[in-house]
Amino acid sequence: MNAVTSLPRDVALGLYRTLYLARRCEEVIVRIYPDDEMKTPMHMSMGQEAVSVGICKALAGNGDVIASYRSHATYLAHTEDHRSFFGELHGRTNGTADGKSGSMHLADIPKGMLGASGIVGAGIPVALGAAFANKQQSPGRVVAVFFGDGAVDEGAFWESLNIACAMGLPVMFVCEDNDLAVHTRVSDRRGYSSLPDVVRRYNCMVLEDESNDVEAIYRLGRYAIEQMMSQKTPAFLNIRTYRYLEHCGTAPDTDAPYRKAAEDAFWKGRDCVAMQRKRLLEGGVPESEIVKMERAIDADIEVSVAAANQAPHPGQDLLYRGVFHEAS
Amino acid sequence: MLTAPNERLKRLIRQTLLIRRIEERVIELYPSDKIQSPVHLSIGQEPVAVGLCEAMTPQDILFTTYRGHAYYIAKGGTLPELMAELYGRSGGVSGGKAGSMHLAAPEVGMMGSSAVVASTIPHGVGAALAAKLRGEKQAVITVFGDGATEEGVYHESLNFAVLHKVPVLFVCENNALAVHTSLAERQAFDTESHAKAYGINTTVIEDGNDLIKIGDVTAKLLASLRAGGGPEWLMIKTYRYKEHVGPGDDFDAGYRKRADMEPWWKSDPLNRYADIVKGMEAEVKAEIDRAVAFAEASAPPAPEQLLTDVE
Amino acid sequence: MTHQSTATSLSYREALHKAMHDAMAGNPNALLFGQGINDHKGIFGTTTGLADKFGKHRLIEVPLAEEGVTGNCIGAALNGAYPINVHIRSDFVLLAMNQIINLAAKYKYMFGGLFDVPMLVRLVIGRSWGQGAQHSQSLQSLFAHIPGLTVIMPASSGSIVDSYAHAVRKHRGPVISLEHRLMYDLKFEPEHEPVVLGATPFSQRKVSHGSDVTIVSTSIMSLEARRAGEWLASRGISCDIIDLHCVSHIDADVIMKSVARTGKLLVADTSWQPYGVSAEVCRIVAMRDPGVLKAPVVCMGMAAAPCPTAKALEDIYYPNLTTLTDAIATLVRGKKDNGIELPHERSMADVYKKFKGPF
Repeated sequence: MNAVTSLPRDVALGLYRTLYLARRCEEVIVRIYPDDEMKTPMHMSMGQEAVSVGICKALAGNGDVIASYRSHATYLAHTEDHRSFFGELHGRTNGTADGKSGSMHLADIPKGMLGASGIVGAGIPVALGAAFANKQQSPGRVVAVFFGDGAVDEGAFWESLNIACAMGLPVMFVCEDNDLAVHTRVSDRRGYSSLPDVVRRYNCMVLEDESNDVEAIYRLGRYAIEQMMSQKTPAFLNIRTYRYLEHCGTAPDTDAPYRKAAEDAFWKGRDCVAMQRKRLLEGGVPESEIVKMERAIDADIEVSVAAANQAPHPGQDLLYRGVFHEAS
Repeated sequence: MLTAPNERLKRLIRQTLLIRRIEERVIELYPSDKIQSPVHLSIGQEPVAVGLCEAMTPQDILFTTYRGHAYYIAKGGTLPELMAELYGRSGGVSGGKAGSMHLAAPEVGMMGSSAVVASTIPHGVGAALAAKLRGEKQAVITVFGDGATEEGVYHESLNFAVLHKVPVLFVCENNALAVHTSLAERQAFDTESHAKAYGINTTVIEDGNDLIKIGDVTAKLLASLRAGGGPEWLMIKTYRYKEHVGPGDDFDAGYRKRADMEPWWKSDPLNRYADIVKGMEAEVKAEIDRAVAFAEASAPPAPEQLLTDVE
Repeated sequence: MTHQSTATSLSYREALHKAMHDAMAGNPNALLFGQGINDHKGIFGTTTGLADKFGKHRLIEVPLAEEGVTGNCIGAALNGAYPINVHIRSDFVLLAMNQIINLAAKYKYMFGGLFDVPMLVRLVIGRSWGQGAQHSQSLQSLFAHIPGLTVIMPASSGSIVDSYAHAVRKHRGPVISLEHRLMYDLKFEPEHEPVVLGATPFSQRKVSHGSDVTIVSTSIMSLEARRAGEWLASRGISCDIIDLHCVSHIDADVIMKSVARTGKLLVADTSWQPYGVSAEVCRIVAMRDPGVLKAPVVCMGMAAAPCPTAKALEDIYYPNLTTLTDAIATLVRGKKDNGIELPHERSMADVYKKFKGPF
């Protein structure tokens, strides 16, 4: 990695700020989950935040996103709204969906966070529809759809890739490749050896990253958007990363048989949050400034948690609201 | 290169002729409404089925598509039962419940066809997995159109077959049309190079009218399957003379031109070997007459058949 | 014809493991397909260790490709294998509906009886603790609507052991089994195994005999009905409880005979009421002899909405012991203020998470 950032100081700091926010929110979840106030299955982003943060920041406010069920980092990177985030995880009316959706379906439609699904790969075709609408109504606006390497095994991915390429839709396929579908390795699920190589057979730009470095991913995202606009093709980004915690739940499962110690050490040696912090320091940002920012985020997250705990539970009147369209 | 037709070629030509003429009989009969089943005619594509099935043993099994008359006949299904099935009669191969789109003859390895595009592709893969489990030297062919390669289940099947190295031959019967939509409008990828990227061995036969070549290539690929070499992928280019569904021509429909058909018409084995064909016509006609007579004489299924074989 | 179902003191989870083991051991051509079957969690422990014993060539860890894998199972079945396909959440099977409904269910009939498609699809119904809209669905009526599919909902360890053995060894068609996640840790004492009310293990089962009201229930609601019945028994109400078990094949006589005796019917299903099991049971009574009813039928199931995650809503989304007992008492006594004391238990999930049986 570059010792010193090549990005403007505020961008580099902004990336770190959001990375830290996503990481810190999940660290708080780990801390308070045993209190049993958040009754929702958690699929934690921890370790993988650079993908969401790099890409969402690259959208620069002119894009929509769709997340996988491992949606915390994507939601936070795109909206930075941890009040609604914690409200939803607590099942309260100040959440993104009055507490009806929980961890797996975070959304903020006005901000272009178009949702997440508990069904692997289900967001991918939806992204094409959103991209089609953008092509007609908001030229220049792209849709980034995040999914894991497991989703690539679904037929819906291949149908979507073909259609997006055939129609030249402004959709950025972002594969968060942690080598795992739940606990099953790519090598146990795929007959082919290189996904990017297969995707290159389509009329699609293919980019790869293995750095886990938020700045590299941010630049890759910026480059992809420029190219998508000039070449009128979709882009496929295969971004290698690593899941720190268990598939579902807040515990580390480093001792589970599917884990590899060397792999664990390798990725934790390039932790995306630590790398960006180090870069800022080496680039001359005073540690006091960083710490001040971190403490402010910490305090604000505690405010969100307290607000969630104090927010009303949804009442019976909300049980049926939203099942069908209701004229307002 | 033209060589003197030998016995093998004659046999293949006769089968091609039989399929062509029986489908032409279907066209003839269609206005009478005796056949009340949507027909997807193979006319023009018969050599693909004939060549593929020549290389298969009766133990080898075949899964195919709704455009299945040619495969049923080429794999060894009997004619009278085919005709009776199209007529919806009790003497039909499935007692009149299947119609044109679901022909099967398990005793000769014709394992059925589906009206839903691509849906039999995974069946071929699963059947091959079972064959491998039992350690049999059985090979499986699964045939699909070029439209089916856009379906997710095609990709899922390809991946699974490669991952588990099962003895299945994927055959893409490429007439360059999904119903009426051309390849260019549908596909942003090249199917052969795509399959190759899976690490699967690919073969393309440009001339889907070359009976001998299709038979030879298939025999070689099936031998490789039986030797445990993992799945194979074969594309055979061909041309559909008739409309997607129904007995008519549709060159005036606007999606293609009659001129597109010219090269295929020229290499059509029934034209190329017109002299040999001439000598076979009478016997083929008699065979078809017998099948039609069987169908006409066969009773409609009895009402109590309505609820048999549901489960 | 009635008989005792398989006596076992296994937990639901252990019964599933035994059923999977026996299937593999009893048929060399049995195959098990699923995402996660060979990992350290082994579908909640129901497939753990089987790959070591029977080999990974028979216990096939699959990619996330539900339609393709279901098609693979059909092809394997057509070629002499007995495939079992497990989905860790029933919701995931929706990606395979083309293969199940258009192919597996129809392969026999559509070809005039030329083929059988013997296979078992295991679906786990998730429930509670914020599983939410896509991890909690109870899809029995979707499948039971389709001719050609046999749909079972085992509500005890014994019913798993005997029904799965029957599916694998005897039944020649596709079977969809909906297992309930909340029951996995329950142990079922042999003396509490319901009596099978028919010739095969797919038949309906009698949970308890009673004279005041007929309760027709499915899956975990059969256990809730038993608990409500036990509460009410000491308060002067006697319940006749029928565990439907095979929701696709209901013996109308079993229901009619009971309702003719009690005159009152309550249906307690794990899913939504419209077009569901409740509607089907009512159809049977309405078509056979509505005159046996002395009161309108009462139906209980999930609220007609997707499942919310907030516990405040989830607790009113599902019926619970209090609402079920209240409904039975109200139906039997004919009025709301009937003086019968109700158990105070709002959330079934709280109970079953802690509850270890026996049942």
